[in-house]
Amino acid sequence: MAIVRLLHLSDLHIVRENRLLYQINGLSVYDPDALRALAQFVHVNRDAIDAILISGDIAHAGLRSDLSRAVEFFVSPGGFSPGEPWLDAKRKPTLKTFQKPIIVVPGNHDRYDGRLGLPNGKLFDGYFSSFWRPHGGAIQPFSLPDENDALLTIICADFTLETFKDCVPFGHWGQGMVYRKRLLKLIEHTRQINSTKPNSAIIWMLHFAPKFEDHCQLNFFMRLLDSDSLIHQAEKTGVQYLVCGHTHHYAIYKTGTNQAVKIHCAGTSACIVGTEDTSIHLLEIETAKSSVEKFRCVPLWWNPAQLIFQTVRTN
Amino acid sequence: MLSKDVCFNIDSVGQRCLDEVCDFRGILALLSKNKNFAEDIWDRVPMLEGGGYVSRGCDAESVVYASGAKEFLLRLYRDAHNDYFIQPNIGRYLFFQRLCLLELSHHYWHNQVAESVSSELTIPLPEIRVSKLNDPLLKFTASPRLVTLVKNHMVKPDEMAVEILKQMRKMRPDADSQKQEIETIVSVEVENFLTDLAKRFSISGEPPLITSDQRFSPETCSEIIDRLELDAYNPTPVLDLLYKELTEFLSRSREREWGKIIFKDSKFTFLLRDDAFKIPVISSINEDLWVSL
Repeated sequence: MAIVRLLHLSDLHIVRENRLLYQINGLSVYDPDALRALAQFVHVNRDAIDAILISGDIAHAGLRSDLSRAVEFFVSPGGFSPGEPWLDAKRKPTLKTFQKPIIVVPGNHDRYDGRLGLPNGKLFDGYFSSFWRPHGGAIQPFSLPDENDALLTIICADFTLETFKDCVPFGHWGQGMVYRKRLLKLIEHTRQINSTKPNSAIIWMLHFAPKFEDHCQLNFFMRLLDSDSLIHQAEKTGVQYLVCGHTHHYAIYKTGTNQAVKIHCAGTSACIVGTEDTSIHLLEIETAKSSVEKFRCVPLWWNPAQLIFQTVRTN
Repeated sequence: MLSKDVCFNIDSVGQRCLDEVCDFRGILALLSKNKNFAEDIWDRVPMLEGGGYVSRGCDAESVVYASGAKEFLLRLYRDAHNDYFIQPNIGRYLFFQRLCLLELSHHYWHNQVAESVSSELTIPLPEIRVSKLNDPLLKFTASPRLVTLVKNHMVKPDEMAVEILKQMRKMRPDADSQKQEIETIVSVEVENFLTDLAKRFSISGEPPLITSDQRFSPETCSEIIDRLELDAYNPTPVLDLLYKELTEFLSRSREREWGKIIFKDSKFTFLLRDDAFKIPVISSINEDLWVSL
């Protein structure tokens, strides 16, 4: 039996500029204080966390400006401010002091191509090439604690849209699609891990929360299309747990014909708009003989009065 | 108490923005003022989508530097951006662009685009001044590049799309509510700025340098500029609000969840509660809080 402890983040929506103008327009973009508090939390607890999962929408748009700012949050060297090693030379937060794996998957915003938000932007792949190196363009497995001694494998799947034509009009900003080709790749990787890493349990990570609308309210333009096939295949391949984000609302729920698939949907980790769930999530996963024996979690909520994440929800 | 005129070092604001002027507003202003120059720029940019935004191939800064006309751009920028902060904004700009795209899409599928647009080479948004972006129904002439974009990406609008388009046309920006939003944001940012100073104090044990020679220190100025994304050439509306918020925050010295800041005789004193800014340590999280899935 082994325990893997993860920090699950999602929907950071980092922008380079005009943050307040986005905010005035009611758009969810990151709050610098929340991002700073997040980096501080990671640094303080770096020894107790085995890996960080980020389920998409790291940048607010797949533009060079936003992606370059977003990647700075991961790679910018820290340690310039006395007592605050989670800040870089410009006093911007950085995760650089966290020396363990950071596992990411792109979200629809990361794939926005240009200011019009057209789908299938490719800049993310370049900027995040140190973190996102998918096989066949959409699937990336990541084993913990390492490839040779895997106890838990996170298989990340990118279900962002390939083209406008795959969604309803106006759906391209918020919808995703379970493409058959990508799903088959996901299944192939899952089977491969099962056979090559017999001691490794498997969970899937994607950006879009499948079947979220069956449990909580979700605008049609925000849904993952054809999520039934994804859930069906999760059941078929024996994958019990999925982690995701996208909705900016925290939820844990079960789905599938036998309710055998359990979803952990994180809120947003850095946006502080209205009723959204600004939170980060600790996951503790107990594995034994290639299966997840226990999956438990605790959310840490944003406290705007003290600019910290804490276990008690105040807002 | 610090007097208003020494609160902010406008020179430093100006200098910073001189360094950072090369953003989309500059490009937009440029396109709006000098068509020939804009065409010149246009030819240098591998891909400009949707009218003025540089989205692929190079960034706005390199466009402007490549043009060798930074000073010229600065002059245009100063003229064109008046009341930018309060009036036009990104949201309206995006909204406007989307509307244009939809219009084009609609025309395209009714075979009107080829005759009316593609023969004419125009720069997207050449005539649209920043201050006119309020009007979502403003006439728009598409460039062939944008038409191509539409052809490549847009699907035939169905009834639903047409209906949404109608709804979008009815929308009108509300300047008053936006102004109120800005006031709220300034208020929140001031609160957060001073809370963050207190938080830093709790970490380092050293009081942060807020003022210097009866002015806010360059670090303080820099942080406020950064937080509020102040507009260098017309900072007055925001600075007024900021000044009001700062003085209110300091004069009332209301107790916060973490303690309070007292401002007396030009000195700041931080009083922190024992439990202020405590970051949860994972090992000490109460077992009852964990939820099994």
